[in-house]
Amino acid sequence: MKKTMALLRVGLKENFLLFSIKQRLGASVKDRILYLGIAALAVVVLAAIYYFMGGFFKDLFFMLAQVKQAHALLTLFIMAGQLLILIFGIFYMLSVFYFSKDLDRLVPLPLKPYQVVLSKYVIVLINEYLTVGIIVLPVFIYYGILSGSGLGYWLRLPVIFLLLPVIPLAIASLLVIVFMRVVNISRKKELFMMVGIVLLMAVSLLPHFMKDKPDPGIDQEKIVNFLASEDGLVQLISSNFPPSGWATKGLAFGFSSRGAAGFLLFTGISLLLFLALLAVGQEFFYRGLIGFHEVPTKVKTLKKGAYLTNISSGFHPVKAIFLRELRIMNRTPVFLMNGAFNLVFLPLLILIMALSGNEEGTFIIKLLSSVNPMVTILSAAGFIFLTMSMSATAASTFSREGTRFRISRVIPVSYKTQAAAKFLHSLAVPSIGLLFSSAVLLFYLKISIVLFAPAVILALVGVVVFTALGMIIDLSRPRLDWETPQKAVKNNPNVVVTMFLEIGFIIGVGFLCKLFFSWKLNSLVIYLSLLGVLLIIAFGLVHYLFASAPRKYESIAI
Amino acid sequence: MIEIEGVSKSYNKGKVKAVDNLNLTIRSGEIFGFLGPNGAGKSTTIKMIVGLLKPDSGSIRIKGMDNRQKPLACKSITCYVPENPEVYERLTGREYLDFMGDVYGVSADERRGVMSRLLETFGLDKAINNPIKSYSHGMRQKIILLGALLPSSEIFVLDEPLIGLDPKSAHSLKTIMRDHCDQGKTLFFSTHVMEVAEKLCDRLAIISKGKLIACGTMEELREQSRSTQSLENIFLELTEK
Repeated sequence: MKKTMALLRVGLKENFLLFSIKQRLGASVKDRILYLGIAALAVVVLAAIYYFMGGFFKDLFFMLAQVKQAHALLTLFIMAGQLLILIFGIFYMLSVFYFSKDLDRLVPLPLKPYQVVLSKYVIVLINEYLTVGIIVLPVFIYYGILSGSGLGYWLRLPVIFLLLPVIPLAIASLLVIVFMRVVNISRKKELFMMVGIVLLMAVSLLPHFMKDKPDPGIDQEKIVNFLASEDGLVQLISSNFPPSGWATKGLAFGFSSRGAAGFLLFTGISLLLFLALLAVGQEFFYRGLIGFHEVPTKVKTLKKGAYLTNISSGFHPVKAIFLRELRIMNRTPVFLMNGAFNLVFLPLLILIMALSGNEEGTFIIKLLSSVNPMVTILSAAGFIFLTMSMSATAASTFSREGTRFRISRVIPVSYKTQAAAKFLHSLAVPSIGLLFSSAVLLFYLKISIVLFAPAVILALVGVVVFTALGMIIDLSRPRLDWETPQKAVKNNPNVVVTMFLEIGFIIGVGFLCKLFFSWKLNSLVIYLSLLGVLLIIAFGLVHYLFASAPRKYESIAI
Repeated sequence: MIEIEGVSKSYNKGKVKAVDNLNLTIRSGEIFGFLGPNGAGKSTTIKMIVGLLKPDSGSIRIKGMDNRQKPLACKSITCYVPENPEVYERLTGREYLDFMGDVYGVSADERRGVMSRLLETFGLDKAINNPIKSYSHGMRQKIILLGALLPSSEIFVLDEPLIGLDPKSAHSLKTIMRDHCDQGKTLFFSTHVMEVAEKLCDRLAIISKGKLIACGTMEELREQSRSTQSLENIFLELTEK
């Protein structure tokens, strides 16, 4: 136990701002301003989101309360939070279990595998409280206020809240540990792992969408029966992920038999899965880990000078730097996962819905088009844009170099040229998202090409804005002192700041669209105005990026 | 030729003086050894020469060009080997050398010429198509050295280049260093290996606590100290004053 606690203490100090806040905030005035700025930005963006969502939530609450199904709202948000943790948990657990540099130091120590698993799991678990804190906690509080819940509700709330990420994260960890045990047998481990992880994500999601098509002949009596049961809607929603139903019952149904059963089931299964994780970790974790990072090399007996045959005949520095960026990203799993694999997420979600036989997609497009084709264009542009902006490529482009940024500082290539190569790479990676989102729009949602083309143009200009923005933020304060690649992307404050700014930007564009529609402008005028505004912002940011690159590069001490 | 004039650099808002009013001139065709205890300011000086750090005051000129005023021109004639062999480990050795060739504008023929000579000399010919991630510490040091030697620059700035090299490669490097300087090129390097510095360098400088405490040929250093023996004795005597 002592060893586990020591391991946890070190892990927490290494990974959390909270535990090293004094050290970090005390570093310099600039640091303080930066962290306070991030916090203020997050508060403003979240306040705006909560403000809009709050009104919508209240209406929905009272509507459902009329048929005594308001607690289904809890299920909906709990499930959203838990599914997010499950999907992204696969990425996170893979990173911390198999790609942390500290593993090289931990494995030789007299520790049992389950102790290492436990410490890593707890670190990610604490991180996930941020996710559930943002998505679910405000809903818990608002629901409690709107429903006038008693003391029991508020007492159970912290327990349920603390247990929310346990099940999805334990499932993600179990999947990853067992999967990596299999991967470690393969020769092309990293390739196998990357393809496998996408499949794993799909597999973890598929059951939640694989539901029976609604019975077209549903009769009045069934609806009455369904609404008559207090947990009818809860059961329906949570049929995709039962723990969300147990948590809802445990929280909202008080000390009734249903509530107690839900509470016990939720806490019991959480504990069981946690113990299962430790047992499986003890058995399989080191078997998947040890030897995973061995690099297979080819030792061929080459004829004298044979290695000189495929030497490059000389590339322009932009191409050389672009290739360097591309190769390093493609060959570093953590970079690839955060830069490129995220791009598959939204299209994959829609694809899974399509596989499960839902045909709401084409229906939604038809509905949107019948209201106003401009709405379809904006929605499609938003979808492409969101898909492409999932990539952390631009916001980590300088940080990813780490201490090797020294090379960029000494090579005889102007900083503007280097920034241009990185800009092109940061634009090229999200283009994978364009391919996937276009496929979904054209082949599943069956959007017409006349509406698709202008949507792509809008989205591309938006991506230029985000790329330049992400690079400006990362260049102003790159995180180069990392030992673990995941710190350059996932734990990089620049990626977080860019994400908040992106959300703020999307809200801003939404406001602008609403304003244009309220003026009852012609569709073409709305489109061109929006495009014009985006182009001006894009031009301004790109210009600033290249103009400031030499000064910023120079100011980075290595 | 490298000219360092009145260069100072401090950290922690001036509390720690890493380099204090340093004046040095390294002539063309000269191997110049830069010695000093740990934390004396050697790496800081080297980083200022190659443009990684900005001096608080003073100037550094490479072949007559101020490295702050004309950074690109200075970089294009300077090659730098850092103390830590940190390199793009996800690239293969060949890809790294190609990258260095591309950014320094080395033609394909020149690359072939240098690589055919040096890959076998340093024993990297069989590993050149493997990812650098699979290289040992010494092999990484060698691939960085090769990357620096590829453009055939006029100025070489090497920070502890012999650390991690096996005896054969260390010997080859010393021979290459001598050959380069015989061609009129300039070589500035830091080292802790006194025997190497004594045998290899045309001139030496010793820095301690950021200040230059001795500079000259071996003979001149002997004159500056009471010791008439080895460089190690001179070094110990001067740095422990």
